[in-house]
Amino acid sequence: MKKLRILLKIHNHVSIFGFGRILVFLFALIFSSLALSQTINIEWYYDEGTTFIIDEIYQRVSIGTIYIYSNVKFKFYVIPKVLDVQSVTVTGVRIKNQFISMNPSSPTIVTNKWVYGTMVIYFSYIEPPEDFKVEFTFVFLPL
Amino acid sequence: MEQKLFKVFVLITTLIALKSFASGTFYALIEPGGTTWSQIFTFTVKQTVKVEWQYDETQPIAVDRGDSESVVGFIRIYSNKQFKISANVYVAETSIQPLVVPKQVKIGSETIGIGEVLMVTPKNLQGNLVIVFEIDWENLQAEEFPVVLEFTFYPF
Repeated sequence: MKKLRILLKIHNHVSIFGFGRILVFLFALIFSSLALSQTINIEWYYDEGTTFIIDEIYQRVSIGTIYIYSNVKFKFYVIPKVLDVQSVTVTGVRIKNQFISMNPSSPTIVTNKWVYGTMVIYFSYIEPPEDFKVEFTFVFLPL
Repeated sequence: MEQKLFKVFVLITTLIALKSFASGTFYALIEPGGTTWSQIFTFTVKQTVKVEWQYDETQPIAVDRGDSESVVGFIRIYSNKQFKISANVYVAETSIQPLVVPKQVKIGSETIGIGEVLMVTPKNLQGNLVIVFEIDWENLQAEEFPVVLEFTFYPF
């Protein structure tokens, strides 16, 4: 009987010790991911594969809804690169009513940790171009 | 207890539904030097065509007896992009159809054969609109006959 109790005790001790170790490890993992790392999440609610039709009067096109959020304050800018034609320039990228900086030295600062709304692209051209592609590179930086 | 579980269930399903509406997601750590994300979009401009004519289409138009040509007047057809055009001319009255056969339509220096397609590369076509017929003058009795001119525009 005594022998059994000792065995149980040892077993309990070992198991608690083991569980504790796992808990500490888990806490460390959660803590490190929450406090140390800054993450960026992007969700888009449009089909990026479709052909977007430019409004000829305003020379702009509405892409769709985009949601950018982080666990921290961040700053970002966008670099548009027109791929197929020379006669077109991208003059602005707007999300809801905020124009996103296209200048790496003065990025748009997001203090509320999120940007949400319809993304609208503004163009400038004299002659209407043939179909063309534009690569938009967003760069996110810690604040 | 059951109500609470149901609420949690509803919350989770709506969250999943919301997530599944997204066409795509991106997740990354923000690196000190910057994290990049890029997307490529294809853009297009809707093609339009505009036609201007400086003649009165309700007035009778003379046909030259020598070369069976009829000068209608000045026309300008232009688009915001390159386009293709085809022309058709119909003689409305069946009794005249065997005697008056439309051959081609000319706009300025360009010639469009009936039922043929012309590629317009500088985006615009302008000049005098001329309809060329093949007319059996011997048997043609009618002084006037209506003709329908039809243009069809295609993307390049």
